[in-house]
Amino acid sequence: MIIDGTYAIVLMLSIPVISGISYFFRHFREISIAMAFITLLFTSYVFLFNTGTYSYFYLNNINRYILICVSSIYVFSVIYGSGYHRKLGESKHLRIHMSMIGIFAFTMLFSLVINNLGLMWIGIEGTTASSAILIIIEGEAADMEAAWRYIIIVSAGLSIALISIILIYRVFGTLEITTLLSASSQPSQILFLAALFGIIGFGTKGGIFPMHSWLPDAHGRAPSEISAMFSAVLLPIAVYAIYIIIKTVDITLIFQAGVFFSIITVLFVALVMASQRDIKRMFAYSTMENMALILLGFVLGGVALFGSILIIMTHAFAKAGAFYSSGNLIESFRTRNMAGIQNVWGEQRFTAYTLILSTLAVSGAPPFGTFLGEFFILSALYSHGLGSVMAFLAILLVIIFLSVNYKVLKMVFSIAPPAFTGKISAQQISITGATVSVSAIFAFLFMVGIL
Amino acid sequence: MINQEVLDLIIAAIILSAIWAQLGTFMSHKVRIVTIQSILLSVYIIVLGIWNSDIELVILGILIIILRAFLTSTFLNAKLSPDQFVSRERFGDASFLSVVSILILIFSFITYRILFTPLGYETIGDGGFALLFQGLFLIGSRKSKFSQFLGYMEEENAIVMLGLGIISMPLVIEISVLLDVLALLIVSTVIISDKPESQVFEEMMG
Repeated sequence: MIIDGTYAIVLMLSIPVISGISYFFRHFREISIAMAFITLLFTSYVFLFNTGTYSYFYLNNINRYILICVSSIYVFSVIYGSGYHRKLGESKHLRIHMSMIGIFAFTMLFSLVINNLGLMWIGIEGTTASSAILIIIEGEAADMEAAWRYIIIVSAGLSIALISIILIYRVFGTLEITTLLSASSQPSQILFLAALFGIIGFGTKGGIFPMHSWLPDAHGRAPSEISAMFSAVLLPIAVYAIYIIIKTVDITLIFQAGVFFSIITVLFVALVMASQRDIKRMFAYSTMENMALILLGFVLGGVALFGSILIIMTHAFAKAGAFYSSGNLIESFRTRNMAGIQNVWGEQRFTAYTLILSTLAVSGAPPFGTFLGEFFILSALYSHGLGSVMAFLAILLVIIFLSVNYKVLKMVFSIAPPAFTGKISAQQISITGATVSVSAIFAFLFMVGIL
Repeated sequence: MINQEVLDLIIAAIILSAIWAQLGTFMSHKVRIVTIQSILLSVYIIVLGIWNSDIELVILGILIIILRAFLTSTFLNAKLSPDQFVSRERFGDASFLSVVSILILIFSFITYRILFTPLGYETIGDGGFALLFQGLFLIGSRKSKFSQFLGYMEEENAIVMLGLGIISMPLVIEISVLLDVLALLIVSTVIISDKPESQVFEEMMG
């Protein structure tokens, strides 16, 4: 290797931070995009390293894939954002926005690779501080309210996760993740508490019921490229933190708690999905469904764990595509309400394609990777002797699938008089197409044995 | 023995400050109360550090005074109107809130004894657990963003106390947590300054 593993990881983490200085330059957009590309290059390089520890960092077969997703969505979002916010010109708001995206990407990458549970918590808490500012670029009262709810609910939840980390430190005497994952412990009340606080605390950030209430508000009000980053990569990082805690504790009661929280989250989504009117809130609830499935796969382990990785990767790109498509529609139709978005097929043919495909992908339609992932998770439930839970979950997934796709197809094919449509930038169109295309390849990679 | 009683007295004062923060209506007073609470906590930590000859605890105590007590109150006061009646919080029945606060306090004491018994009883841990619930109640029961943020500060103080009762975390983690909360405060003040009270938007329902 040309650069040593530790240095490569440090460089990967440093570049998004350096991109923060783009604020001071006239060509801040170009600098941000270039830095995001370089970050992706270094992440791809890091991806090639063997799993294991690299000084203060570590790589395993889960965080490596999420790293690639984070860097890719970072690139896509910076490019999309530079088109989406073109009306802001060279304003201070946009400069801060572009700079903070880099800091936000850094906190996510740091949370994934740091080999210390306490510092991982700090990284995840750091994502809250860095991303709250990204929600309020348009400065509307509702944006401010959404950002506030995001800060206060997520921070309160993460404080509970910190209790979990304190308890783990008490039992194991270390917070080094690699040591925790290889340590053995006797089941105890304290470990159960640690895992429960961990699921509730990190579950707040990961959109797990009942601490999810910030999620539809923040996703709904954030600019589309930020909603994409939240949904595609930020939430899986929080769920990954739960995975670390569950693997550390590894007791039967927590297996049951993990299954319970996952199923109840999907049930909640199935109940509210049909009544959604706001296009981005609808996709935010869809994210909750996918996060619950990822958590379920992590809890079940084995083939379900692989299912979770497939969902993480496919969902990251597909959901980014769904949010980018939503952004294109919101810009064209000047509304977030799905009742006001009609005849997309006639008005925005390319966005109609990307919207339909991305929706099919996030809702688990074959042949997308999410379908395979869901299949693996359902079969793992059955093999754990939870056939009735599997059947119940399958019914809920079908309900959600029908609700989301019906609403999207209604928007696309409903006949309406020509509406005023704003012009979408070339960056937005190309990035939306690119993300949806990438989301389609994971099932193929799996079938040919590459993944 | 006397030493422990002094420390227990500080914990009792911290919990009283939490009840006081529930009932106060003038926001500038509330900020002051939570500042006093942070100072009490840092005094506790410094005294404990001196008695146990633990330099890390002393450093942590000093950092809490600087970052949480001094800087936090400075940032929050800068966003408050100089006229204390303008930034006065209006909420429902104060007597009802006080009763609920006390009930939550009793509930948290009982819960701590049930849940954390295997770790052995520590007054500071018990106090931290009680303060955690008071902070959560302050966040959940108010519309004022200032009050909600103060509730969050109480919650962070509670985690420090709970940590002391269970096990002292490595100093680097404690310092990072303090800096994280400070960063969050700076971001929050940007958002608080626009509308100091939480609002209901029709589009954010459902």
